[in-house]
Amino acid sequence: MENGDKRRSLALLPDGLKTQRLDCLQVCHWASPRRKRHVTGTVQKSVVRVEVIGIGPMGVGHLGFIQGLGHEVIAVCDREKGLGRFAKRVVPRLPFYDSATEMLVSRPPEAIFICTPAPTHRAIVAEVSSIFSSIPIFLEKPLGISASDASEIVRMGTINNRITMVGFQRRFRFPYRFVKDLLESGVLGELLFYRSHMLSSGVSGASTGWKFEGAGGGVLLEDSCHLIDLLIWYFGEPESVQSQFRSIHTQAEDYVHATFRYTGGLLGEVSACWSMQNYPVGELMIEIQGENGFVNVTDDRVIYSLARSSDVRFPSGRHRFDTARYMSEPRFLLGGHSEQVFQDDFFLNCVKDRVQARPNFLDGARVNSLIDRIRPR
Amino acid sequence: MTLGAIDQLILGTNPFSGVDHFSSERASERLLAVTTESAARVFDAAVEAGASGFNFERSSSRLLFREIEKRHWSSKLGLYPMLPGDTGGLLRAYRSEGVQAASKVFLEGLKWEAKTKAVIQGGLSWLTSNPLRALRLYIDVELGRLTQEAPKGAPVRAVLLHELVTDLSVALGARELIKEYHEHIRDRHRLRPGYVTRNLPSFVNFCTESGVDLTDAAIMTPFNPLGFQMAPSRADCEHILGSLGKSRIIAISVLAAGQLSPQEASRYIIERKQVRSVCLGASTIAHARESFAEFRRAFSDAIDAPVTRS
Repeated sequence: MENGDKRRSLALLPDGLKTQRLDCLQVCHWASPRRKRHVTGTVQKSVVRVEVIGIGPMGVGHLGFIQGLGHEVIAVCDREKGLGRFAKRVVPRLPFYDSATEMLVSRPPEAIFICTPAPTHRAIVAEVSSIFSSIPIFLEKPLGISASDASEIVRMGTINNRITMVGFQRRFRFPYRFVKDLLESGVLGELLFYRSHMLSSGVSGASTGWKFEGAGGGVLLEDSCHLIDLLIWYFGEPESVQSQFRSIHTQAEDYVHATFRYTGGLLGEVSACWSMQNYPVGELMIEIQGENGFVNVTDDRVIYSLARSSDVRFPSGRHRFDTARYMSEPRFLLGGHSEQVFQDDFFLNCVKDRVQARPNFLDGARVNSLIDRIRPR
Repeated sequence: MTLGAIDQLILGTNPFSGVDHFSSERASERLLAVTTESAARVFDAAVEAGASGFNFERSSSRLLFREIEKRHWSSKLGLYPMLPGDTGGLLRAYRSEGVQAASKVFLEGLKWEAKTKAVIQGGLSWLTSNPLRALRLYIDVELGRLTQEAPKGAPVRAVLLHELVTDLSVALGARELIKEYHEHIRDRHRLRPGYVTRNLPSFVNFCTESGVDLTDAAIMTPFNPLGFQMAPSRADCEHILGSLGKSRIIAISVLAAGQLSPQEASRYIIERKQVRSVCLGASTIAHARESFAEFRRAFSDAIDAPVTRS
């Protein structure tokens, strides 16, 4: 399929939720890697009116993605009044508020993106819910700073079957979706064990601020929640958890090692550290060993090997698929962050079609719950 | 105002800076392995194979500038500096500690020139209240620094706005910011304004609607037969080429992060007659030699090709 031919398929999940899936995998078994780069996402005709709360690094990115996709950001809100002065002069057509309530009441949107620090999520969801009990909400990850925090956000956020989503954008990156399909196909046979890590050199000295302190910070919540989400997506929640962690440069945990045991016998291992000395560009890796083969995935590629297979999507033998070859461009690129654009596109399509999105607040709460089991707060 | 020609073959510095659009693992390996000396050797190879332009960020290129001067290339090289001159530093501060930290880095950069210190005494408050004035000051200071730090005698052929600023401005409709940038570079500094973008059709339409005249502007944007990093699609980007008239297109990502051979890439570029400049990154001497030699040959053959009349 050419880039201009955009398709969407609906997959009915076992729990009855109708969810859009991205058709980014069909290329694998029939495409010449250089010539056919399948498209993800949808063609959309209508515009969703969105408001963004929090215009820090993530908020500005979402602003760009949403507008670039052809939707309309009708107002933004941030506590920092200086940003308002700046925005008025640089983007004069975009109203700025320093109060979410004032913004929501004076300009009711069709969807809200909350891109503030995790410790503020609960209060902001409460504020939004007090005005709109069912407006769709996209919340940047992690959902909350603890399992109890997340649980309260879920309680407030899922009233009236609200459409919700949490920003675990790696689910929208080709190699991780490939692995999901591979696992669901059963071609690996009985899963034996996996090892995984998320490593970077991002924190290389004494660091202060909410990301690096106690309850609301640490490598698990701030960084490796992406890995935790992928592991839950792939394997569910483990039956038992054992862990070790230490602080190196911050007051929170900078290094964590955990082992998981699942019902059925699967074993798993997770390492997370943002203070490595030899990872100037971060790396997320998951390798899964099964009876019939293995799969190894990073942001850049997926490699799998199967002794035998009757599934045409996943032939036997050893295969490698590179993200750059198989992940097509979204309709708008900002800084090369394709999966974030696909993520926002997906959420806004769910809003238009009034279907549930994934990963939603419940998925986010599962991540917080497992993080608390690894690193009690 | 007379603007110099855009060089056909330009060397980019992504491989020296740990930027790799194919693989972050490869980027990490390169970043750990690169030294000024190894980068200079790759530079040698690229210049010998035909490169006559250099695209860079000032903050990460100071040591390389000294190598260029030692090798007496200054008169042979056209410079294509990026603004901001320290995007990496600004982004690191922004991502880790937000707007205030990034603003501090920005303001510290302005203090490089003594005369701006008095102007920016208001700090963050001044910055947020006068963003367009801050932009003009920033351009003045950065180009002043470049004059001091860049290889002496190497002419600036175009000043390129980083894709994050370009594409975000397009998405947000920040017309005044782009107009201010464009006019200040062109009218105050008598240089060719340039833009890096991965959303060429959106950018061109935005400029048309905003009254930004792209005649003679340099536009650095991906072009390759795979459509790699060409948003929204290869077809849309190829189509908009026809409307660009006298804009100077500099193609990047021509090898699609290594997915294409130089021969495949050059064949495609030569067919796009409005594209007569490419910016290539190279991490090894062999890669530099092969890539630049191939494009030099392809451009030369295209000029020499006999005109057929029907």
